[in-house]
Amino acid sequence: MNGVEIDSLSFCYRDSKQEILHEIGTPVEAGEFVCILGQSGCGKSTLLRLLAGLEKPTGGSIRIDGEEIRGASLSRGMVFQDYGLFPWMSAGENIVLALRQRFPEMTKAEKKALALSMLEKVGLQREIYSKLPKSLSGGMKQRCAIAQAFAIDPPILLMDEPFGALDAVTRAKLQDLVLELWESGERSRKKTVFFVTHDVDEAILLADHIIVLGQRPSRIIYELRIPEEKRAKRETQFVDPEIISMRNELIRQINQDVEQHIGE
Amino acid sequence: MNGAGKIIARFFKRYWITILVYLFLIGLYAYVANNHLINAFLFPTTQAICKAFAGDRYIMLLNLIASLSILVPAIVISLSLALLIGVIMGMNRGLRDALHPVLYTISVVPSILLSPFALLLAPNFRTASLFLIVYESVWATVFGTITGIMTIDRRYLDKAETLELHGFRKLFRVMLPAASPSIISGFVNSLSGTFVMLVYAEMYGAEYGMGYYVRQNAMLGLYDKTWAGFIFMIVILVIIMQIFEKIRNRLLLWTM
Repeated sequence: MNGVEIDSLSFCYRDSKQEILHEIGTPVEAGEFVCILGQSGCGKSTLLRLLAGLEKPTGGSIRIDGEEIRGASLSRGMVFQDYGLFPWMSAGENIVLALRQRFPEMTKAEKKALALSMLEKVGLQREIYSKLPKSLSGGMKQRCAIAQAFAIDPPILLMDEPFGALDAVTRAKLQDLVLELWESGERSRKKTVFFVTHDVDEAILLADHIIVLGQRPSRIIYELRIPEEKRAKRETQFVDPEIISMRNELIRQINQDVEQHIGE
Repeated sequence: MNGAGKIIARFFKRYWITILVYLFLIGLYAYVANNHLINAFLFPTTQAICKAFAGDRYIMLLNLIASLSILVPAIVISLSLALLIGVIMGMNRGLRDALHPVLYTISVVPSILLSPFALLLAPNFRTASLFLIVYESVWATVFGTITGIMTIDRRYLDKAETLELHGFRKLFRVMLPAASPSIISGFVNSLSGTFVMLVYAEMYGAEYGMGYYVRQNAMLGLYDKTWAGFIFMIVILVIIMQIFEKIRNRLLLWTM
């Protein structure tokens, strides 16, 4: 059980009076892949930071299995767009550090073995273990960050535009990798994923629950739940009429909100 | 070519201009001094300097040990103190706002000005030297550490937070490495001041040490030995600087 209840969530920064998020509320079932979609600067990352416990809400609450979150926790793994790895440690040391935090009882050898197997699982060679992040490509770094996130096996995974800075081919490969890792769990043990993106196609491909945030102060302007049998597939994403109409509706909702905002 | 051969070839490829400059300077001195184109008393011949080198090599070694026995603890104390003050002030904005002007005021007093007080008030010369060297060298590292800690990218701290890194583990695994470019830059800047103060202290109060050896022979008018001591000191200080350079490059490999 990793159900998340976002209830009337509001947020504004301490030194600013402008509200970033305004009374956001939605229930998220355990094991859902939620994409938070919206234009740049609408507060998607702020919502993710609140879910991570890196910020405190100014109103409302976030509850996981009924318990309000207080601060960051290893039970909510986070993959950042960049800076996902500490650059002064090798890729392997980054994973081992996370494992050391999550499983203090593990021996050094066990942690190294698990880190190596996770690197292989995300399609990287074992030699990457001792390489500094600066010597890795953007895609390799994100694979390492994903390996780190999945190695500590958090029930909830937060991903902040993790593929935003990658080229289209690498992005597609990593999207498939994340889906594969997420789908490999049984529904009852599946991770609940919150994935921030401003790419409508990425959201449709990955999510079974899409939350569209409007302009600031941000609120949910549209929500879409996609049943298992209607989930998009990469091969048919741009030809399936149902997916196309879903896509058009999402774009229409975002544009309508933008126009409304300009009108105000 | 074997491994050692490759290293030597790489060294010469990288430093051939440096080597040429040094050879030129030595050649110039040899030409001027050996042909008595300059005061022969103050600038002895290269043969005389080499002879002084060979004759006093054990004495110079003893003086080197004496200098290092002050230099090493002074660097350790200076670095530890700088990290302690820098981390505390870097992390605490209130304390930083209140104490930064005070630290700044204290730091601009040259330690040479304090030397008469230090030499008179300290229980012995060693303590006075340690105080003066630490005082001279600590500030650049303190300010480097404060700046480094203050300017750590928030995303590193967020990452540390999500991994539940707290306390000393966060300090040693995240904060100090993230701030290390600024800390090391401050430390390296302070090193030359450390050497200046060491030599100064040895010249004016010690009974051993590289600075003492140079001063003693200069006072006795033995300029061949003075030059030998002078060159020996430069070589040692350049070696120490090179060692720190290597350590710096190793620690900051991730930034290069």
